[in-house]
Amino acid sequence: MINGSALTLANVTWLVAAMGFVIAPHVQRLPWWASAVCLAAGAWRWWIARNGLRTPGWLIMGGIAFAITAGAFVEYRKLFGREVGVMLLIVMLCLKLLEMRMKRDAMVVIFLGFFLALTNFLYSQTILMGVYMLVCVWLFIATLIGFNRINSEPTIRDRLAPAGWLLLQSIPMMIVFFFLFPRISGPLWSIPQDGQARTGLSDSMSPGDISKLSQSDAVAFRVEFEGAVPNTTDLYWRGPVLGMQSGRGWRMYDSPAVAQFEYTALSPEVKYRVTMQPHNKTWLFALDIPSAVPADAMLLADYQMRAKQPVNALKAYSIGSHLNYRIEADSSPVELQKYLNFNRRSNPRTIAFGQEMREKYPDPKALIEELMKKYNREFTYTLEPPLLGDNPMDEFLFGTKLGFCEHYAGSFALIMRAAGVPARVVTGYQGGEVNPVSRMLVVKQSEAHAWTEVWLPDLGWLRVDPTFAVSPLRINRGMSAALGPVGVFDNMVEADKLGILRSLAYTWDAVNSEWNRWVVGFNQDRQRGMFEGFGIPDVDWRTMAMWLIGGVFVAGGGMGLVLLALAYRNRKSPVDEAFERFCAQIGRRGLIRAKSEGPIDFLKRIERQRPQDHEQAKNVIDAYIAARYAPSASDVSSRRRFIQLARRFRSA
Amino acid sequence: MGDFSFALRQRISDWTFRARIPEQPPVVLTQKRIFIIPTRTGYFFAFVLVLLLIASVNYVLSLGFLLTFLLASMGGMSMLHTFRNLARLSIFPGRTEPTFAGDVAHFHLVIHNPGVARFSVGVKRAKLRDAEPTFGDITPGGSSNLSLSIMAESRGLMPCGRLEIFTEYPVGLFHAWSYVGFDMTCLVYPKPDPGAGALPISATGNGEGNIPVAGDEEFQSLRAYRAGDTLRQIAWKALAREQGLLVKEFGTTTSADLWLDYAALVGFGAEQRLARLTWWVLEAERALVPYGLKLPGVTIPPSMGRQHRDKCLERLALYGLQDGAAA
Repeated sequence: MINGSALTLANVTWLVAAMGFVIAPHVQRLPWWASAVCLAAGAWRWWIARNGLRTPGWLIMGGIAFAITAGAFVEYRKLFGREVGVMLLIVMLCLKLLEMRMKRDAMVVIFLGFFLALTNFLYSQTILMGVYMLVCVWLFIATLIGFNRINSEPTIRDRLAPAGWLLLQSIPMMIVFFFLFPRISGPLWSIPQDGQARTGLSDSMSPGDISKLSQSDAVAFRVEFEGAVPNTTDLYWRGPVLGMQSGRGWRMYDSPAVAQFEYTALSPEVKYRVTMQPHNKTWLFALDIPSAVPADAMLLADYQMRAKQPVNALKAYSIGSHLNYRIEADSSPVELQKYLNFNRRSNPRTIAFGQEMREKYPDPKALIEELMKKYNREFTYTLEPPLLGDNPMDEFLFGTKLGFCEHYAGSFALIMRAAGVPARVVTGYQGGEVNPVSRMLVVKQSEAHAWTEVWLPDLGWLRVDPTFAVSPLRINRGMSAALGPVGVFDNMVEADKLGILRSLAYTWDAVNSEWNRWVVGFNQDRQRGMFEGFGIPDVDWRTMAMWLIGGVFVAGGGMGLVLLALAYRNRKSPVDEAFERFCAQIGRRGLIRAKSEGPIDFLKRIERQRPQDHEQAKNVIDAYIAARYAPSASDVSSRRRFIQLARRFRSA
Repeated sequence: MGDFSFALRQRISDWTFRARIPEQPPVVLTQKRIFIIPTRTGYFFAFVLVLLLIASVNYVLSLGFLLTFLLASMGGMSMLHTFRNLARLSIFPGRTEPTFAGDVAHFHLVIHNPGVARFSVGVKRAKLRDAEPTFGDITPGGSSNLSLSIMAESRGLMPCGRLEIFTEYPVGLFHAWSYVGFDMTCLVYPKPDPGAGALPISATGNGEGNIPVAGDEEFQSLRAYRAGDTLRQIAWKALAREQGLLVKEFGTTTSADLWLDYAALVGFGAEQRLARLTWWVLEAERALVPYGLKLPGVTIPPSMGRQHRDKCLERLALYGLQDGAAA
């Protein structure tokens, strides 16, 4: 019905700009040539609209599309998958801009633009991204409104204001849908896992791995304790256990799954709830030693806890731990043998040193004590240790003597094995910071840590943390105390004598935590929990549908009534309104216009009684007469002129 | 609109507006009269929403759910806005100027808006697939004009029929419309036939040859200007001498008046005769020749001027038609 005339320069400019905004966060991930094609397509389309040129023919478009697809295949080595899919969607939608000939094409671009907004959430679901995408949606709706203003060119305000109101009015109903729409736990089909690097621990450790992590201020997980938060020295968040020594570093054994952990508890259970940020691995973290397991997790023989699916969305679980325990005190030598193997070809001096120590200190306890003393005396804790060569432990122990937790844990475990004591490296996080606003313990990536476990007869596996010997501050007071100011956050804290920034940082973290709890982490379980809170246990879909319908009725109907009530209020024309404001201004000077007094009579009275205003008032009133009694109702310019003059009028 | 929705809307309108034509002005668009249905764009939008929902479920994107639900709510709310864009408008019929067959007739509607500003309100002839719409914005607290141009096919009184007032503002997901059926007509004169040639001076009876010819500058007197006088009659020189607006009067110096006679056009069909007579009426006006019109049963004595012309053309337009309905 409405044809190409809708593709005006203004409309096209808005559409291209909105596309630019929604694509911007993707640029860091796109191949450079894809970004260049998008930019060129946008600029080209704008040029076409500006100069009234023809859009390129299908042969050119087909050629470009084919080249893009070929380029994507070269770049990604496949044409299906998330990364390549997102890239193709972005570039093809930009090309669609060039193929846009009718209003209907523009609608397609705008609606698929909403889909582009969604693809951004694949990579980030932070508050910031949410707000940014809201702005993008606002721009798209404003663009949509421009396309539906058929006979007149809308101003920027004419686009943004109605679009903004429309979105604001939709928010109550959106909230109802969000909480009451029956959630299905995804995925509906298996999602190909693209290699998407996220900060976090991995299944191996070589020198330098964890110190890299320590520079990340990203939150790893947040914990809510049922009772008091335990001492910092007890906050060992157990993660991947690395039992295999392999020359340069340590790797994980394929540990068999077990039904439950067997151990003797020596202290009461601590209960808490962990909300983990996605890290795309299966590790789940719990305080040493976890007592109960979340439903969708499994246990491995070396006291590891694993999720059945990679944690690629926010994951929350409730769990308990015993902080003092005795495990596997009665293990047989056969079982322990694998914790005695090591690579004999590397680090010869370390191995020789271990064997030598064993002869000097036949009692493992004395051996451990002696080694701790050595670490304490001779070694320095640093975040930036020197690079190490082919025999890293030799170079570290007998050369540089500068290291981070992975150096201490790795070298200690190797010495123990060489000395014939079963040992393994445990990685995870140590400590955490209590946010006084949310009362939650926040564990950041910078708190990643590696420590060791050694097996002693009758005592079983014991935790030994050689880092503690080198830098007790690290364990007692956390990373920032051990290293001094590092990174932006700590510098900031250091400079922040008044504590304002710190409390802002805490508040922001608390807001993020609530955001995670109520928005990002709101899933099927949370929804069930919410209905239980309403007093409806085991909610079924029928009840949920009733609630949803009721909620939509209340939110949508309520908003509708308000809207219609506003619509049914009588409005004065802008011209009359401006004239009344003008009269009121003069009225404040004591010259009140009588109801029956026409504008010309009023002007005469102004001339007599307030001559100082006369010249200005005459201009305004002449413009009013021209606007009010204009020969044509469509005479916009005279109305606009009068409103401007009336607004500028200042009584002398 | 798709075939289906078009057919459906016709059915609904037939059923709802039975025997309501003609309506008395003003017609106020109340919720009883306004219909609303999703557009094709609206259905496509719903399809995109489903895609967004599936993607959100599959990739466990909570913010995707938020986006999907925000857009769904926006769609729902836009229905109210589209409805509101028509609600409470009062429609009055405006003046319609006569036109010639083959030309365009302009029907005017005056729309009064007591509420907020309305944008992109369209009007078109109802029940016509390819009816060309006209759009306008309606200022708040005042009246605006919307005019609809319709091709006048044949002479007679052309009714504009039922009009559809509609809008898809603000986002084009819904089509809201209402029908108004005023008794608005446009007088359509026959299409002038240039084939008629020069004025039928020889056919004027006694043929004494003292008939004024076109371009004759001999005028009898000056008289004051009256509404309907053509520009060519104005005495510009007199005006330049600041004697006021005067009109040159061409006296009936001729004894033989020019009669445009239907019966004299032997050998032509009725419509052809009317078309030729129309051409001559216009020619005579142009040449400033007084003329009379004779139709079977109608005789208009010779005269000149706008009013005379309109009277003649009206007789020609309505000749032989019952109730003035278009032929």
